[in-house]
Amino acid sequence: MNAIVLSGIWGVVMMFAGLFLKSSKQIQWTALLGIIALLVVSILDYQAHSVQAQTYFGMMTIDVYTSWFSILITACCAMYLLIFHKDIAAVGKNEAEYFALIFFVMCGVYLLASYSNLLILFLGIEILSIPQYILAGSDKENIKSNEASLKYFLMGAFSTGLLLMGMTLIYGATGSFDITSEKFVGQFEQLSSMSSLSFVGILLLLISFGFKVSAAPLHLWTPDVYDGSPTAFTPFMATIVKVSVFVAFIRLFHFSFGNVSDAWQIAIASMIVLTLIIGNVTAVYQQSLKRMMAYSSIAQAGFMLFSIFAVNSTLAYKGILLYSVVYSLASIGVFAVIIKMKDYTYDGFNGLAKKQPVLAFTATVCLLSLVGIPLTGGFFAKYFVLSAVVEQGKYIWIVVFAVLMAAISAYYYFRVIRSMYFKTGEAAMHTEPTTWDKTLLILNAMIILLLGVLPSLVFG
Amino acid sequence: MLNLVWLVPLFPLIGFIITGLGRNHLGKASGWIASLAILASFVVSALIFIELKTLPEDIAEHTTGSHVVHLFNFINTHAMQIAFDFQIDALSSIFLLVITGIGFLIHIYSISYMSHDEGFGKFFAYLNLFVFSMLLLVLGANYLILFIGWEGVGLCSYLLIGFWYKNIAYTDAAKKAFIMNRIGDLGFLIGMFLLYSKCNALDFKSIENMMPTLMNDPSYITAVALCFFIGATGKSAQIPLFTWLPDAMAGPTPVSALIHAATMVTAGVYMIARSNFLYSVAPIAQQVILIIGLATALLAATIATQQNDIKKVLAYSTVSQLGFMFMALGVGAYTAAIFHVITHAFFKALLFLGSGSVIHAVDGEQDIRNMGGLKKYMKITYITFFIGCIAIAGIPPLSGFFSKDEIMMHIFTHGTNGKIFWILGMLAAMMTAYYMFRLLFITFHGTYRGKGHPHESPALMTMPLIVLAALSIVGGFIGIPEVFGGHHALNAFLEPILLKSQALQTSIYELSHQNEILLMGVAVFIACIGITMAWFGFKKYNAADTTKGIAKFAEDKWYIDELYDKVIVKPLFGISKWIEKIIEKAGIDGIVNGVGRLIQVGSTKIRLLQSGLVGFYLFMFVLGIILLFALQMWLVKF
Amino acid sequence: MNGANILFYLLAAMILGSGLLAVTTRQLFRAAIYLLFSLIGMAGMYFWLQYEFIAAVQVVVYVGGITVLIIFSIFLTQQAGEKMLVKKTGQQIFAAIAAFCGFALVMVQIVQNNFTATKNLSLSPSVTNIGNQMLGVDKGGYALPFEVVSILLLAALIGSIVIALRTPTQTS
Repeated sequence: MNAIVLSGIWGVVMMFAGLFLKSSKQIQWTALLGIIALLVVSILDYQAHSVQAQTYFGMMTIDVYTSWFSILITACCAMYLLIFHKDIAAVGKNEAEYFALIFFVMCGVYLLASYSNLLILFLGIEILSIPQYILAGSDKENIKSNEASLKYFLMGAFSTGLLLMGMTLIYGATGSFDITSEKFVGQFEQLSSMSSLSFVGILLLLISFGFKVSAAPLHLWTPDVYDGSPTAFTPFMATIVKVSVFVAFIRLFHFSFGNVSDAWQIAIASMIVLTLIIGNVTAVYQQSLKRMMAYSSIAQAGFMLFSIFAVNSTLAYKGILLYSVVYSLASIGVFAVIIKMKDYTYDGFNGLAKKQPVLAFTATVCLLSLVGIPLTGGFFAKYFVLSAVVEQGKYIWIVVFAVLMAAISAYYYFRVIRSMYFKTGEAAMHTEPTTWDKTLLILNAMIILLLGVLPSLVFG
Repeated sequence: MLNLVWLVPLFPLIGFIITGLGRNHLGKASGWIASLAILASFVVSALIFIELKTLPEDIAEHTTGSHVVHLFNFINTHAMQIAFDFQIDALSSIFLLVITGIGFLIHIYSISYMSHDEGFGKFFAYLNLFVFSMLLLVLGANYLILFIGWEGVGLCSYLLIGFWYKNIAYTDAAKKAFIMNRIGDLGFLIGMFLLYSKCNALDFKSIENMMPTLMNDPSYITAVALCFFIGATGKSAQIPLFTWLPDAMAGPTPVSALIHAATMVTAGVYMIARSNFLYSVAPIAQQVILIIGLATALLAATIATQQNDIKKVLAYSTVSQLGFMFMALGVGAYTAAIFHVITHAFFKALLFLGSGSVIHAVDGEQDIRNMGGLKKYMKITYITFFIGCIAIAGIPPLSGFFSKDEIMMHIFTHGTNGKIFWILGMLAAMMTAYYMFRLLFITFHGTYRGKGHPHESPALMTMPLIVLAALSIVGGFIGIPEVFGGHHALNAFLEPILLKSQALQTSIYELSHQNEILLMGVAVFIACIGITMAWFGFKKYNAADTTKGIAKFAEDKWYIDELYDKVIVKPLFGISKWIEKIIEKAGIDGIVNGVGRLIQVGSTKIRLLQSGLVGFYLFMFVLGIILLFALQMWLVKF
Repeated sequence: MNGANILFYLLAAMILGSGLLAVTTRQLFRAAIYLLFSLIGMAGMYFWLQYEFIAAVQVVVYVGGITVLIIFSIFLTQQAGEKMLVKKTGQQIFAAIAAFCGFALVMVQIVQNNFTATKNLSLSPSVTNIGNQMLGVDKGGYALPFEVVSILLLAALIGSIVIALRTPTQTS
């Protein structure tokens, strides 16, 4: 709870920092101070809630899982800010406002992790989304950035409409927004007694969530938005925001709609299949690394959807925790290298290993983790979410299919490694990495490797 | 000592870290450090082996000869518990010896071979990592650890094959190896998932103990066994995933020796031998393995007869020999397969290092048509290479004879079709003798056709050759069959781990001693025919001949690469392009166009909204919603 | 059919009719005006339900605020009277089918669902109650969402400033 308050307050603090602090350095430091404070507060929150769950105003329930996720996601965000703070400030003149928006997004993240009322869910998703529309368009001189912002906004508005419609229908069937209330729980106890209004409502919610996590066929905005947005903000949108929507997703669909899973599992299975095909196969054809990562984030979302698919499995909960952390760190690590480059195409990376061995190495670790090679965290992340489905005993074919798709993904990830290590070229840099950058990237890679050996570290 | 088994993979890991970090500073020392690390592992392995052999009989009886060392809990959650355990028994200890022993010789050889290469330090770091992964693979007490080593070996082979990365063809070969391996790994992973879904465990012992209950579901066991076999086809280069191995010749020659002889390719054989309890009750899977093994042995042998690249011949020879090993696995003769792995490791490492010595002598030339008459210039290499050739051809009393013969005996007595398989196997064996001696004659006999002055390699390179030649000669004595009064030491040693599966297996061969000797005589005779054919064909070789007809077909490797390219690679790119076109370029041409063109036309941003991509996206969005609704409502009647 | 019923159908016709006109007209400005009437009809519906306060809010916020805002932005961005592009027939047909499908889907579900009618008025929409509940911190109080909305609005505000603020144009 304190984390929610602090993130809101720090957003305001950042606003005023822009007014009173003259140098960009000071603003960046304020932001870093804020995220560290947020991390500390979320750890304190965790200690407070580790014994028993607590409900606030009948609107939010904070339990161990929630507060642990808050710590992990705050840590990922801290990693993001530590690595990217200079790049964020370099995007435009309003750096204080960018940081403020990021803190507001974090507020939304905490709300999504702990809501127990559909109203808070809606507000959380909106707080998450609106700053993103702005961040996507923050490079005002760049028409691609403008376009990304506008597209995202329009498509997002559409999905918000569906979300509201779904909630309305569910409210119509249950008469309550509170997902812990008797009326609400009773409605979703078994499929036979469920109202058909809820059925449509659930599917609309599913679609709206699917849009936010860029699951096919609702993914079309993703490549354009991730590609068009300033590179400093793309990793934020692709990782921290996306995984927190996943946590909201799993919370609602397992906690509330778990007993009526027959009503939505087919839809999500088709989403998974489409997402994996489109994400992986289209990524093969990309020439720009940034755009490839956009498709990669679609493909990875396909894997994360497995955790939603495997209803009421503890492995799924653990899997999504591990996947969130590992995927976030790995993507941040890759983007941290991309942003240093002048040319985002594969050829632009030729010979990077010679020129910047540290960058090439850390990027390699991150890419291997994204493929899911053992001894990187990515392996266990995939392993857990897929095992969760296998544990269910049905739909094994979809796991087989997913593993096949993971094999395809090796192609485009390894292409990067090949460019960096096995090709000769200039690898022109946009900015030279400092020792500080390198240290952070190595730390990031080490965490990924550590999680490959001891994945249970993220289970709290 | 057994509890110190973690030292075995630790040394190469330390070696990797030291040589990896100091690759630019250590200079030539890194080669020695790396070799020392492997030597240390070898010593520990040898001590373990001795201790295992002298373990009291009753304990060995009780634990079926295996010893599990618990290191730490790898995955420890409520739903899933997998420990990081090492298992030491007869099987793994033999593999440890082979890997570290031959690995050490190859390291020593590489110090000289790679001495002029700029990536000297990096090379040894990779080699150590490779050995480490392989040791992990062999030591793991459950399929997960095995899989980690399995993937690690694949990754290292990628790094090593593409070691000379400035050549695009080489990096392509590396990529090919990796992707082929990944396809195989897929099968392995699926098998692992299947196994876990039913057994809730992945360690060998639990699964072995669960076999009686699992046997009630034969189709399930067959499915798991076949999935694992797919993994093995990738790693051990069997049909259809064998094409990467010949291309893997792109790496430096010691790497080829390491991949082909001691490590990577034997992983598949090891894994199946390790899972013998599974395969012994899956006769269909065994039949598949037998047929694939035979087909691979024949196919690769025909290709090998027509190759002109010295390393390519050896590569196809490896594929063919692996086919023999899989045939042995297919008839349940696990000991024979392991036996052949060991002897093959000796003579194939010898042949590869010998070819490396030749290539070194003629300044990197690999085409045998430009060699010839090298016998004069490099005595030691010639003699050792000759020994390797007769060993692989199966002339007694060299090692290859015993192991290959044991396999053929098992096949001969296997079921009703055993004799047909035996005849076909003999055909492959004859071709083996033929292509090996063809290679020998073209390379070493006649007159020198190349440029420059060939010279013998330095002692650091010839020493390993001599050691390996000695091993190739005496290596077969660990498994002398009873007919010669031996007692087959390997068989006795491996027996404990095969106890359960042999109880289920019926094909322990029982031939009268006369018949056995008769068959051996036939085998030797056939090998001699192959050698004679090669002698008459190539003793005075002239490079001008061109190949035609079927020979041309074999020379071009049956066009299998081209086939894969047409059937798999091209369509995949096609689909990728198609999706790109439909979804990326946003199908409805004319109305919808890329951003770039819209800007060119001078449209305003508002225009972009009204008829630009967003409209199309929303269109797809709605279509997607309809699709999801339709699927869900249609499949679950609500 | 009594007077109340007649009034309901009249209001519904006004809402739907002007709504339909709002989406079919080809002049953006007119669409805004039709929307205005649709919203007024909504306010009428609230009056009809005797939710006077909500009706008043509807008039003040939507009719008085939002519609005026829309009209302002139309004047700023478009030339009044300019007609919008006509979509291609194919698109129109698809849009019609999709809209019909969605409408049918929701309609069928609503008709199938048997809502239970309550005799007594379950909520008392007095201003005091609304105020109390909006800022109540006990269970069922909406203080938290209320505060969260303020953060949402603040974020939107900052965002619009970031977007709208003129930056010195750099030569690029």
